[in-house]
Amino acid sequence: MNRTRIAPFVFLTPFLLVFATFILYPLVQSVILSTEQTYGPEFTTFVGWDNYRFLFEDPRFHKAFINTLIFALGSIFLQLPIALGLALLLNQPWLKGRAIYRLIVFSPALIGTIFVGVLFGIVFQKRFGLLNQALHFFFPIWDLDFAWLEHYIMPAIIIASLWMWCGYNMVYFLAALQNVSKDLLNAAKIDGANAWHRFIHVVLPAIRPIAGFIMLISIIGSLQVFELPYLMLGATSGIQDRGLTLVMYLYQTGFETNDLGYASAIGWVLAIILILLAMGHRRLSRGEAE
Amino acid sequence: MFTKTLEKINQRFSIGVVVLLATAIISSLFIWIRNDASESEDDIVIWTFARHHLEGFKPLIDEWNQAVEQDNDRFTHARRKARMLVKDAKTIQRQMLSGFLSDVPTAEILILEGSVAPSAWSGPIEAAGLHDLTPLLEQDGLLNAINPPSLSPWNFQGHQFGLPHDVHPMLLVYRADIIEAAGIDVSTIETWDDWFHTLRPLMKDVDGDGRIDRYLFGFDDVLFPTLSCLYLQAGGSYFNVEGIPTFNNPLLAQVLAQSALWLMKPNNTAAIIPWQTGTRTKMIAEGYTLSWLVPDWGAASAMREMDLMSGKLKLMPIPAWEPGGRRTSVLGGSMSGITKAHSTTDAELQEVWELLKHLLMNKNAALNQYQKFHVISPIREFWSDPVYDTPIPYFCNQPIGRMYIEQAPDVPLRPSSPYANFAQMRCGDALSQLIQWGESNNVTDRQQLEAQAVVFINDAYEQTLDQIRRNPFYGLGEAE
Amino acid sequence: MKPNLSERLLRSLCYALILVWCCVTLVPFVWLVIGAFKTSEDFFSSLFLPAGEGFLGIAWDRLTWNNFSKLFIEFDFSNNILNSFFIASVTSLLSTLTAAMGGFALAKYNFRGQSVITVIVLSALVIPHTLLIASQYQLLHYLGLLNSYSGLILPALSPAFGVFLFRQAMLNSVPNELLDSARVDGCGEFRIFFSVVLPLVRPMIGAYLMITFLYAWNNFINPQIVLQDAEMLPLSVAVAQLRGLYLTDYGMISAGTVISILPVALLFLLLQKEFISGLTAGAVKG
Repeated sequence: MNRTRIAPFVFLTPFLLVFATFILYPLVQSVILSTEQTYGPEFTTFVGWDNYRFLFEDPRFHKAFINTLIFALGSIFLQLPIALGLALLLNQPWLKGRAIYRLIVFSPALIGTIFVGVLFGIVFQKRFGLLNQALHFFFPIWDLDFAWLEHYIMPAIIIASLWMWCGYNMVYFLAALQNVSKDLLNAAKIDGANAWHRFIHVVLPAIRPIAGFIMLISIIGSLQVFELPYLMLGATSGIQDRGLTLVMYLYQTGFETNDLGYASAIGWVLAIILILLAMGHRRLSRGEAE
Repeated sequence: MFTKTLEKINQRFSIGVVVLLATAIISSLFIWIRNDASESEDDIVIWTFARHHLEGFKPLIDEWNQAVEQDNDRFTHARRKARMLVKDAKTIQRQMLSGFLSDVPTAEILILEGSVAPSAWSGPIEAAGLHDLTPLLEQDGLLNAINPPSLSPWNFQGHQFGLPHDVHPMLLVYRADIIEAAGIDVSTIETWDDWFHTLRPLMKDVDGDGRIDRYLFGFDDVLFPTLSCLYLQAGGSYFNVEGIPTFNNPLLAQVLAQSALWLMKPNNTAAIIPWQTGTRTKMIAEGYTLSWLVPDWGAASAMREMDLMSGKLKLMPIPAWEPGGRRTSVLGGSMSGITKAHSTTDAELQEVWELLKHLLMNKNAALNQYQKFHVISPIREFWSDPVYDTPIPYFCNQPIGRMYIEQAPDVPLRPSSPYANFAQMRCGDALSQLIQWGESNNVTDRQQLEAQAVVFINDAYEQTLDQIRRNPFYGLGEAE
Repeated sequence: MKPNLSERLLRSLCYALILVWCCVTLVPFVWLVIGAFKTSEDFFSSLFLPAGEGFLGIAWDRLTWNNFSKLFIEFDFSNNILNSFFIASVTSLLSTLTAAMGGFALAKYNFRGQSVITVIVLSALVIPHTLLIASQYQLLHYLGLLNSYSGLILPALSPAFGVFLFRQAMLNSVPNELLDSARVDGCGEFRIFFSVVLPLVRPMIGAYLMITFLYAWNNFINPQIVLQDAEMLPLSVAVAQLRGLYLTDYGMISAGTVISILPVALLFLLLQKEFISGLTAGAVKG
């Protein structure tokens, strides 16, 4: 019917219009920008691959890359298992007050990044910061002067990010857990499998697809981390750039040193990494579905 | 009919959606009704990054607007009204740059913070979006009225791009209660060596945990601000007037080596304290450090945030690097500039210039600024006012205004390059690397440290040069 | 069946773990709420409540409502709150609508170029947004959208993530037979969308509304760039600007943040059930 042929385009129009204007157009511009050095339309020179060449030799870019990688891996391997654990705990049918616990666990995601940045900037201070005091209280051998924000910036940010986003991921996992077939679980119980076995052989396989999705989203998100460390470190990248991340470097180059060409190059390298990751994920999950 | 639709909606959508819809509709109504004051497109707009500017300048702006309304003769050129808007400093930077690079509108007067301002002249000089104020200053004979070193951070290759708001001289603040109780008279101390030598006996383990808890001087934990202050005090500079980096010199190596000697564990005599307030307050209250550098506004911050230290702190000129040397330094600052895009005709420029002078050269406002924030005005004729001599009880009745003013003419000149921030941070990294190197190789010999410092400084220098080289437009004048 | 001993032990362990985690999560909140009532002198003198001679050794009389009253009297907070409600609610509703429409088109129709568009949507997910800020700013200027709420809301209407979620939700929850029978009954496509499809993905609607509302509510970078008038600024920006140059009033920032959290927390409570079940409906199956 004619209706069903034009209908999809009508439905897609708002999205496509806005997309073409506000994403596609600036995107194409940024590709062009990455091949230029510019100070306004009158002062623009084409430099070809120069920006990219500089990027591969730039020690600050290397630091940013490594820091971001550490953060992404740390986040995935720390946050996701904890989120899954919490989801398992909060999914138990015999648990009373579930809604309240869920709200509490989710609530850090409700606070804006500004305050979290201020908050954790204080939590990680030497001597009187909350964390050092608490650790010293429980483990008296802990050095009160442990300088989180000087030497161990990335671990500090992983912890801060864990506090802030774990609840979010927990909700995703909760959704996945509620999708696990009750019949399968009961059958396993009847077969005599204990809780651990049920987990490994029934639950894990059932949530594999969504777990893969969550991992992908988490990696993509954490490779773009910027606001949290920037705010915790007081709008700097930390001593010896120990807190410098890829998007932070992009921001500093584009908006502080005003080198839009180089910033675009950094952005594109990051985009390519993300695209490769997404493609890899697609291939992996397609492989499993067969 | 209406209730039926309501029921239909209720069946299909959850209560959350209904609440959101209601919120959207109601808030839209309110916003529509709210008379968004017809902000005239014609107004002179001023952007600032500090809330207290808004409050401090409000009476002056009101005066101006009144003159425009009543069409009186208070100001020769006043034709348009003025209004001030507060934005985050980085946002102003971004919008300013976008405005210079394209024709996106910016404000006419920009109040810029020290680390942000140099971006305005990061490209070719003729494309700098701010007016060169030198002819205006000469026209009104004002060049001598302003403390000369305070003009330097806003001057690039001879173009004066902004008027300073402040001087920000620095003094050393110290724990008078502890130091005087030990019988030490600080007026006998003239150099840094003296300071550390005389106060050495005061370092001790206060809470009995086997570690020293009392140090003689505090470094900011991000390192580069304190390092810059010390280096500038010693007579160094990061860039020359042409915008070329010059910090690749033996003086910086010496300052680096000395700082490392102070900070290297296990025998460090100086401590690292957090740059942000909060635990910084607690540390100081516990006597973790007996002294630290403080600019004029830092004195006001201390008074507001460290109530318990009242009557325990005193100020003194910074110990010099050598006998007879400079006893002050400088940190931070703001400037106001006029954007070219708006003030295109001479008449417009004169009008905005008059407004700017009114804001920055008004005696009442300047004295007010002192009383609230202890900020010294850069206008020299105001310095004779007795308000600067008021004894401040917090600092044991010292006349801190006068003490800062005494140092004002000595304030070191500062680099104004857009790469200054980058360079300073890399030098901070160099210090950090030197400390690490010294600690892991157990080196305490000054010569060796200086030699190694040169290596790290060279690295910082090369990185800065790399950045500059990539910018083909940096500092190009009409000649090129 | 009554739980036996080992099961009861296990349950106690679970409760203990949950409580530990909740405490860890709540400590900063407690600090935040107490901080909102402290004066700036007292803020860092003690960790939580200021010590004194009151009940339980706490100086209750030093706690004050001052921070809150200052926010509303000296700062334009009630206006900021109104702006935030407006921006966040309109953005989330329109964004959800656009996403649902886009997801519907991709899920339930077959048309030429479908796979191309699907790939475009997916790739939009991986583009770092910071890359585009500079160009977007200029674009907004050319379109005359600076200093208007439209400049904030319009760019948010290309939610790739949303289209993706709704596509999955509709693939899972909307049977083709239902659509076909509606068409046979003579319903137009739009009528089908609103009366048949949307109610079926109700959970996902709730979920996505929550996500976009939260993001729009806490976003403080975009509004600062786009809006030029102080009156139009939302809460997030107002709180960000409380960080002063010479001085930061932590008490006021805490108070501002507390005010900022209340509406989103309320919304979360209202939408909680759907938020969770909505994500089930969006579960990816490869």
